[in-house]
Amino acid sequence: MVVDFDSECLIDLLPLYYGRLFPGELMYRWLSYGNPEFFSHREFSFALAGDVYIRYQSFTSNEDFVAELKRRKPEKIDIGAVYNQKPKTRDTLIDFIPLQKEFVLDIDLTDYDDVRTCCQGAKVCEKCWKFIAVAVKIMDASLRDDFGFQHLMWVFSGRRGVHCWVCDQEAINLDSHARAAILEYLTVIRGGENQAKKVKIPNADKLHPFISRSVSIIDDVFDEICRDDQSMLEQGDKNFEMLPEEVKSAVKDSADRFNAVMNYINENKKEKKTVRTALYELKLQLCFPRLDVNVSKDLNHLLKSPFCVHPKTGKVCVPFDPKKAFEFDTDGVPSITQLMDEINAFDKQPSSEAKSEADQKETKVVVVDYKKTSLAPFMKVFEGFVKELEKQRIVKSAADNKTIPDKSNIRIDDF
Amino acid sequence: MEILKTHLNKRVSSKKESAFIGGRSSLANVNLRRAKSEVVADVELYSTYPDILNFYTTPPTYSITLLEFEQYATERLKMLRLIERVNLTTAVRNNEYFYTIMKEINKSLDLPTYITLLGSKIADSKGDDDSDDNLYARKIDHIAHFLLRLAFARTDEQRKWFMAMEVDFFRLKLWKLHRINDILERHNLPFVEAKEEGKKFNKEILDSSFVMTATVPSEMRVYKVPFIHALDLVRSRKVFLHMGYAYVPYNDVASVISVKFRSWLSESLSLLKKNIHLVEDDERLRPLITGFEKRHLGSDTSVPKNGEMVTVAQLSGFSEKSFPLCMKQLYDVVLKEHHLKHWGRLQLGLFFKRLGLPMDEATKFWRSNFTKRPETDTSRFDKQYLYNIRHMYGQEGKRADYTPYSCMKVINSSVGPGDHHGCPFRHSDATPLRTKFVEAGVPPEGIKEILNLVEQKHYQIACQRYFEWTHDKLTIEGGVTHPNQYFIESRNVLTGKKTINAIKEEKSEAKRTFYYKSQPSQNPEELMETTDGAESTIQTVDAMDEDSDAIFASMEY
Ligand code: SF4
Ligand SMILES: [Zn+2]
Repeated sequence: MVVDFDSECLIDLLPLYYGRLFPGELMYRWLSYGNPEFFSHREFSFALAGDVYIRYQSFTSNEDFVAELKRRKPEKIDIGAVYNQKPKTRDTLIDFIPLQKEFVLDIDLTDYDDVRTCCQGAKVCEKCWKFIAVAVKIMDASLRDDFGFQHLMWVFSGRRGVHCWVCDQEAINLDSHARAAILEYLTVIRGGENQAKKVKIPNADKLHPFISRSVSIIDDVFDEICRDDQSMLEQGDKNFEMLPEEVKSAVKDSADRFNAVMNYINENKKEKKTVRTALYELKLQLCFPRLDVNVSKDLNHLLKSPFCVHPKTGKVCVPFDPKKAFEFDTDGVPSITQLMDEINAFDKQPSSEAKSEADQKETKVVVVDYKKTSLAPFMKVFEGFVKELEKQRIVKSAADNKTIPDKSNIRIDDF
Repeated sequence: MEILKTHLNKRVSSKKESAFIGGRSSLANVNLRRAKSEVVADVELYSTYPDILNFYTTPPTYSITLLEFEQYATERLKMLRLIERVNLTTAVRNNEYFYTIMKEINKSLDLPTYITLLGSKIADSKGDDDSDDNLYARKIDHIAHFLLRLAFARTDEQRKWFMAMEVDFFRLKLWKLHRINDILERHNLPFVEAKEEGKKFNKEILDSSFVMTATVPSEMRVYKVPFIHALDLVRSRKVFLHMGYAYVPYNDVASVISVKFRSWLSESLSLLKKNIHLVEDDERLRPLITGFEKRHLGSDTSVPKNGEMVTVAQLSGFSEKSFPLCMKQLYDVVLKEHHLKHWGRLQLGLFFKRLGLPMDEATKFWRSNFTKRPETDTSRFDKQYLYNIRHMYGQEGKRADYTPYSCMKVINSSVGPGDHHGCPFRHSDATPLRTKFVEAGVPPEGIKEILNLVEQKHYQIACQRYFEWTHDKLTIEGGVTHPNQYFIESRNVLTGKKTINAIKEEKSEAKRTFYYKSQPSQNPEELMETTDGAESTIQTVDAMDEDSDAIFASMEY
């Protein structure tokens, strides 16, 4: 069900949304990581109606947080770093330093304008969403299998992109130098508007496992995205220029350039290393994720919170299962208007059994509001993520209690 | 709980230091053993500096004169700047890179300490030169490093630069040393040999690392280390990662050690920053340290502000003749596409600021161009970009005075799809570059020369040639280091304000001023001579000197 969203009404709907649907308690359980101080030293920033932006908000509890949301009605909530002081009441005479933050990734379709032909700028359709799905698969696999991170939360940003929050303790502790190094590892496309070729594979016969894994993820959808959906490499596509001269001259008169290129490559790739290289480079340049690195590098950079309402589309920024990235349907994400309608409809429903007034009241309290709405499946993903974090903490603290610290251990930590 | 606590209490504790340089105490033994077979003249120095590698974990405790302060620091700065020059030509740290640096150091006439330290023979020296001269060089290396810390501790940009160059110098020593085994042992580094995984992931490890595929796999020793300790290899994707561990072949271990050095240095520098006022309060030291900043060519302070105010109306004329290509390109994009991505706005906006374009004029420029796009009306512009512009002028946020980018920064910026910023000599294909040269009226032989330089990665020299071809063959003395400098030089030529000779004179004037400032009591002419004299640099005066004590006292942070 798609309900039209009117951004004028947002301000009226927000108090209700924050009061009845926003998962304040789960947010607290997530962001406190079992330590109240960790929550209270965290920066939140609000974008209020009328282009007012307030930074350095902080809260001591879940109740405190939600109460302020209801009062201020922010159109957008950003989450920042954990500081050495409570941001809101910080003492300006003492240094105010960001200490920790989740490692985050920000992928947005506006950075795909050099390969999208279906839409440009702010527009999105299910064709270009496939680029995002590829990006999610590639990044998720690497963060887990290469870097060993386990607590990843993928969130739809409300319009045309996704965020990933990496919440393992090791990730939270990374300094910006380490963050930059990970990003370099994850970056394949380099080069600006004046460089046709943006991917360089040094040796096609010695692919780094990260590259070969990424290529095989792209392989599954390469023809579908590049040929069928986006008709790439045809006349006027700048990406064609990246191919080696021999490929270009072999196909230049062909009407169906995409297939001509692929045929030429397939016929020659066995004998010619240059052609093998070109094939990898082509696949990567057209489909490899484009990351907004600045968001990820700096410790004090802010990122939009999950369960915000996107002020333009009215859609809620919902977490989703990265394994189902291709099935994710942005139209299926509920808007705030739709959610309010659903709650109202539920509230008006006559109870199936005749009950006294008091009983009815009771039921209302018991059924958590979001469960009545199409937000329920997304909330479940979030809850699962938070519970995993908590479970891991219990296991870890039990293990910590058991081990007797010995000298060799300390040395390794010190390094 | 512990997440927050460990960070709040983070200090470079003495315990931590000793754990990392743990092997140092046992060096006395090594020393004794070696002393029997070899004649080591200065036993004391040898035990302090058993080899050329120094993690600089403890400040030196010698006394030096202010004159020596100046000498040591100047020499090291020259050495670091040499490294910087080589770095601009390559991003990788391979054998060729280190050979190039060694060659350059050996060629230079004013780096005697470092020539001695690193050994003059390139091919066969294994860093085993324990002669007296070498021991003294190790000592000066130690002192000079700490002196430059003082001069470069204050701003983020200076610290970053210093750190990057020092780490490369550290690596150069590691490369010279060849004795990774000793180092691993001496410093208790957390490498675990991974025999099982080494076999299991043999192909992946070979595909990932620099190791030649021809290496007999069974002979390849592999160490496993948490990836966080192998960031350099991670960054260049030159190591196999699996579940949080990096599998490092024996040959790549050196790179991992230098990362540790880097993070240690970074921590010490930020601690020093907090206490730098102690040094600045010292009247004898202040001029030395602040003067140093000026030699950090290419940094902000070396670029004079354009004397006059500039208006939007003038920009188009300036861009034709006097903007360096990096700025002209951005300017043209704004005019043509009425849009520019974030880093492009910053690169051009800060350049404008230093040009003397006041904030309201800048706002006018961006607004009038950006609002030519149908989707950007004035209110949208004000919402989205105004803050950004005010920020550049220090009117918002931290209210910092953001400095325009130097060539080094522009050349090293990361550039992605949709971006127009960066340095065209580095970030453009030959074809669009050639078009630009033709448009600017560079003759074919000039184009050939410039493209050749680009090919060899000499971007700034290429830019300088471009300047010459477009300015009647007049040059920029000392090379192009900053887009704003390019602009000013160009204006000077075009307005006939200065002939090349005049520029030269002004330069040496500046130099003299610097020396004069640092040593008010001495005749500047004389001092310059001493600084350039080679032998005096290696001597250390151990006589107690009140002046010098202060220096190191303030370093014991
Ligand atoms: S060398 Fe410097 S001034 Fe010249 S184009 Fe590059 S960045 Fe600009
Ligand atoms: Zn689309």
